[in-house]
Amino acid sequence: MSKMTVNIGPHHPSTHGVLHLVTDVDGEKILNCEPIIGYLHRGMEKLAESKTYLKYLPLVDRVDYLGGFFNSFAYCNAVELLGNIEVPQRAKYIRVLMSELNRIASHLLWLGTYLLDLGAVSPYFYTFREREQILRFFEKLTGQRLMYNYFKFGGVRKDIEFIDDVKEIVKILPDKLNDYERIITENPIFNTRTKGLGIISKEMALDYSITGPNMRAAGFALDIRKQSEYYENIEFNVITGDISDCYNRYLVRIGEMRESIKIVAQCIDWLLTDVSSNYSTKINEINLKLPEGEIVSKTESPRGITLCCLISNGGNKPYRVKWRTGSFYAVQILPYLLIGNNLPDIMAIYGSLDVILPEVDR
Amino acid sequence: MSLIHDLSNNFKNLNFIEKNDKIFVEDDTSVSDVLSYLKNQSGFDILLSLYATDYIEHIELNYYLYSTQKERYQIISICVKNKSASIVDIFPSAYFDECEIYDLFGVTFIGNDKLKRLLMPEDWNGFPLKKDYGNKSEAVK
Repeated sequence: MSKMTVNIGPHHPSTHGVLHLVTDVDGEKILNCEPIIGYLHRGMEKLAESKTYLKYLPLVDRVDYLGGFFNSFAYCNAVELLGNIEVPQRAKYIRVLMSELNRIASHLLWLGTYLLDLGAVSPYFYTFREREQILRFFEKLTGQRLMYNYFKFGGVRKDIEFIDDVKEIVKILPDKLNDYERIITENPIFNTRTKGLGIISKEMALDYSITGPNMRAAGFALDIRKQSEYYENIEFNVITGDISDCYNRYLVRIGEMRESIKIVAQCIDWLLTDVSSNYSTKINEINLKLPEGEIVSKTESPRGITLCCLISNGGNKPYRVKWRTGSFYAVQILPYLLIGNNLPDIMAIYGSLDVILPEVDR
Repeated sequence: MSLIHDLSNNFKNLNFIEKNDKIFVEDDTSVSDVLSYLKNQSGFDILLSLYATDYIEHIELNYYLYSTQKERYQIISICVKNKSASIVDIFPSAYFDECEIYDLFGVTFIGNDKLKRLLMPEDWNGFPLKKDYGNKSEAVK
């Protein structure tokens, strides 16, 4: 047996971020692997302590650049819970609508790049075509494609417009998803590369705090949306699998996109019928002071449970902000999934976890 | 029966205080026993997060637990100076969390022998999230 150490990353086209994997290999076999993170550390939690509540708001989109709405939602929700700020029903529906479109966009990007990592180039163009439509809508409404800064304390910055664009997305997406499934799900190469690979058992998912689609593929129906008041009157199913291998994680994400389309359609219906209510509560954002206390707000982001813990000491700046993100724990589990597999499987397993590095390092 | 009564009955020699929905364990050395009991007997099977806050006179460690069967959240808190017991044996997911707290707050976790700087460079001086660290890094000063 001959051991050789291979450094994968920090710059590697398939990690879609800066992740360093120190890997010991014997031929193609992986003997050991150590993920090294921190290359994208921007001090998000430290920055919060020197900024007012409002000034920190544009930064939180950057915690996870593919799910900006989820982070702003978690932060806004924490501020609202701590400051007892009311959110009008219309704003809640707008938030749900934007979040779910964001989830579809994030999953579409994952789907395209994951297949690109596995060697299939064409799905990348198809998924980006549909994702572009969603991002165009975001750009029209919020002025930004990724870092939206659209949610504010007590609602959203402006009322929803361009609903016809959303209707169009809702109309075409199910067919497009069928098209993807037709070329991917039964594809023999994709099946051999992903089935039975990188299995996360139920115990492992619990022990290593794996959440989101990665956990639901193992059979847990843990979805925070089901407990949230924002989704009270919205009907959707929690998609689960039977065993969390790379293939089932793919199926769960496809199913989640279908459910998100349903949610978006319900939100549009509601927003079009009830046009009278307000989209935001008027508060003094600039001099916002929150009472002393501690709150943890929860949201189900595309990559698992995102927690925003906000501690206030009564001043106009947060005393402490803590981000809990799904990817942080997904990186930690990598060695256990990789050891014993072959070198080319690294990207097949890593990609299937849908890790976003800025979210890991914050 | 509420959780705090349950805990008080099972750990007669420990003091538990409930404050702001959190349960404080007064003796910080036995937190691993409490967490092990909560995991195996009370069904709190996921440690969603472990985070620290610097309150200058002490550092507060919060264990954010979730029970998949009861759909319930619970925070267990302890106050420490700069040392605490590691819980990696009970919740392996805490390894990265403990490294992060060691990195940013300088709390050493006894029993976690692979503790390392996780986010900051290995040769970094000081612990950025402590309140006495200031707002500028050494390099900027």
